[in-house]
Amino acid sequence: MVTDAERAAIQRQGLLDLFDKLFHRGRLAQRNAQFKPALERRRRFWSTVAVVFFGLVMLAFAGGDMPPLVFATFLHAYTLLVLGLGAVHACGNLLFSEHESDILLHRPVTSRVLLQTKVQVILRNLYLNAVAFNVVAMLLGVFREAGSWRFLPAHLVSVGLNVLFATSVVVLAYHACLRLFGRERLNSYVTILQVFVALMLILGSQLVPRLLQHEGLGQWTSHRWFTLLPPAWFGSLDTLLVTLQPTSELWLGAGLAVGVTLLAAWLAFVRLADGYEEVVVALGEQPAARVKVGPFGRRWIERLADSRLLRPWLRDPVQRAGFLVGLAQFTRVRGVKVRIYPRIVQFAAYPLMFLLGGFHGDLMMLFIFLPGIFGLIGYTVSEAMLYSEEFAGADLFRFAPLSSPGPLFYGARKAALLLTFLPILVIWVLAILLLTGQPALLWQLVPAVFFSLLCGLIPPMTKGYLIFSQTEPTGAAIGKGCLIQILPMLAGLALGGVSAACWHYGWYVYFLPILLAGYLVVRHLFRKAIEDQELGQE
Amino acid sequence: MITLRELTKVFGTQTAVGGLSLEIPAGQIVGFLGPNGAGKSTTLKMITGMLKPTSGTAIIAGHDLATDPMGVKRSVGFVPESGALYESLSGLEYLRMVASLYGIAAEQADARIAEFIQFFDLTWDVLTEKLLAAYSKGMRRKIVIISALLHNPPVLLFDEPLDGLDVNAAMGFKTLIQTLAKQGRTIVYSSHILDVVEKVCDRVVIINQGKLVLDGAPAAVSAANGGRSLEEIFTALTGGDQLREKAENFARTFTDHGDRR
Repeated sequence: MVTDAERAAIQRQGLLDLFDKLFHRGRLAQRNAQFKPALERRRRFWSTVAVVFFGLVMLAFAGGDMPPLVFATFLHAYTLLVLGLGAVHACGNLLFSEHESDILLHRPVTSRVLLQTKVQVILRNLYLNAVAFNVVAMLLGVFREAGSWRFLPAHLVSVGLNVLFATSVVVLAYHACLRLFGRERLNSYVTILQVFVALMLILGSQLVPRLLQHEGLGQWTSHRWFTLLPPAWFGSLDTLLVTLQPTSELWLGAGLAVGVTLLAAWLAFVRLADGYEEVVVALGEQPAARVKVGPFGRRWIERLADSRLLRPWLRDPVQRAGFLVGLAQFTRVRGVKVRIYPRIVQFAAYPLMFLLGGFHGDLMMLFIFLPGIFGLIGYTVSEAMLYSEEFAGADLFRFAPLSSPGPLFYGARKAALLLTFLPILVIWVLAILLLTGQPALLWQLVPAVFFSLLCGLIPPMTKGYLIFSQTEPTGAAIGKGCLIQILPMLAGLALGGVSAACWHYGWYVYFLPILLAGYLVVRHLFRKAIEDQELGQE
Repeated sequence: MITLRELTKVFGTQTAVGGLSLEIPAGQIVGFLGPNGAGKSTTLKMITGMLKPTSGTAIIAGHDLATDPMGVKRSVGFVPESGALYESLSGLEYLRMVASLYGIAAEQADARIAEFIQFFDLTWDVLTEKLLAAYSKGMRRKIVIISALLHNPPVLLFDEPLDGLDVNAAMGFKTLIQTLAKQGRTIVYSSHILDVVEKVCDRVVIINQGKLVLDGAPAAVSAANGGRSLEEIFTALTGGDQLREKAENFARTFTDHGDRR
């Protein structure tokens, strides 16, 4: 006979196992998915290795002579940003999933147990990731000149608090989004939150090292506002535990690290625990009969496709269908938005980085890199357009009388050009004008734009490419994608070099027609390769 | 076994279920019918404790939904229409997880799962080697049905349970629920396939726009309506009596427009 306590323990363990699997695998899988535990273990191992590697990359920005407080704050700033991204993703998938009501809500599980087990899995995995991210830094903290063995346990504790702080803040942000905007709008605001965190990550990782080099973080620590920054709290805790030389500033920072974290955790996981049941029920409830049509609602999409400006561009009915599907996916489907926007936000962040960090470099160097950067935008967006959690909808294209996936792709890419490429291009135009004050230099964007358009045609040349037809990229697909990206980057660099040289020697007027002719030839070849692809099989 | 009194659910300004009262004794199979949007799934979700009723009471297997929702959930097995599953889990992982939610120990769960997979013509290889995303629709349905029966509940709620099942599996399932009812389980069977409902159910309940419009044994209902079939009674009650003429007229538009290929 199983006692109530044993039954509760079995239930808790079952939920922990479930959420751990969902944390690592996601909720969806491809229709031909096989279950291979060995492969899963390998994938987890290599993703941990990748996190250790990213931690190593972070250290490349750290100065060797940083004082202990500056070094610890630097580490916590990066850790917080990486954790923030992980926490937003994990909370979106596990804590605020709208799909689990039919699976779990009719089972005898209390909302408190549901919340606690989910939080436990998220915290445990994020902590392991954070430790992996900091493992090399911790060794450095022990063996560097101003280091101490105490840095190791101190940093393990402070990273734990950092994880708890980041997760609690994200959960509170989700709650706030739900309460302020309602569940219909949750997805939109969650995506905005994720894009914002990604932007902060990229800006932070690029700007902080520059500011460190130019201003010296050592001087910052003397400012009173420094104590307001969360990374400084955890850095202060580290320093207090390592140096054992308490100062009022360190006590204040460490106190805030412990106090604010515990308060945020109490609010997120204890105070709002009862409200969590309402949240899960609300997420599972069917929407009201009339869903508000927002700025990105159905009417907006159809009006845009029918506008006088776009109608001639979308004359082909299949392309028009692809355009509408693309617009709907880019503006409504959470997974697609989360995959595309945070990835491309870095390309919009670069010019901002030049502006904020002060542009001291050679303009020609920037122009050499421009086609490569733009090529990556084109490639990344087209590659991401393969995936959607609504992948089953792509069956419609498979049994429609279409001989090639090309027209659908071209239509969806037009939507991508409008929503992603155009805004980034405008940002670059403004950045170049503000940086140089020379409108003539905008001509340097022409090769970059052509190159981006060509790179966007590379992913659909792969066999089996069909827009929004797959769930998640597999490890092999990610690896292959990274390798394939190297070629356009190298070609982009070469093109940028030629373009900069032509500009320098006054040959640009001859270069542009040759560029246009080359673009048209390569575009023709690429499009032919896409249209030769067969559509039908999965 | 199931007592609903003035059960109501309102979404915003729309009343999905309006004051539904029903008494279903143990051992009865009730066909729960209604057109799309009539409030069937909402009612079932309220009975399972997934949705909080706006007003009214529901007593399931002696547990009051308002005061003892966990007791209700322990007593109910539910097959939702959506057939939602965690696709990234293997079949065995999913069923073990469901068993654990009811406090069933691993060895006991495996023994029960083995009995079910034999009955539903599944194999351990499929259950362990493939993720649920790779299962056919029928196989997924079988997994959802097993997950509803695994804890041996006294009340079973099925929302389109035969969706995706082949003829043999469907036949086996129908015999299974009839036998379970004879053993004293209460079964609510929601479906649009009226022939099956007519054959399997002891009683038919039809709701329309969230209100009860018919309640009785299939034979009695038919006799009271001049010997008409359940399908004819259903369409008459739910405003679908012009459907045949409408469909014939619409089909003619295909010929009028010619071959569009």
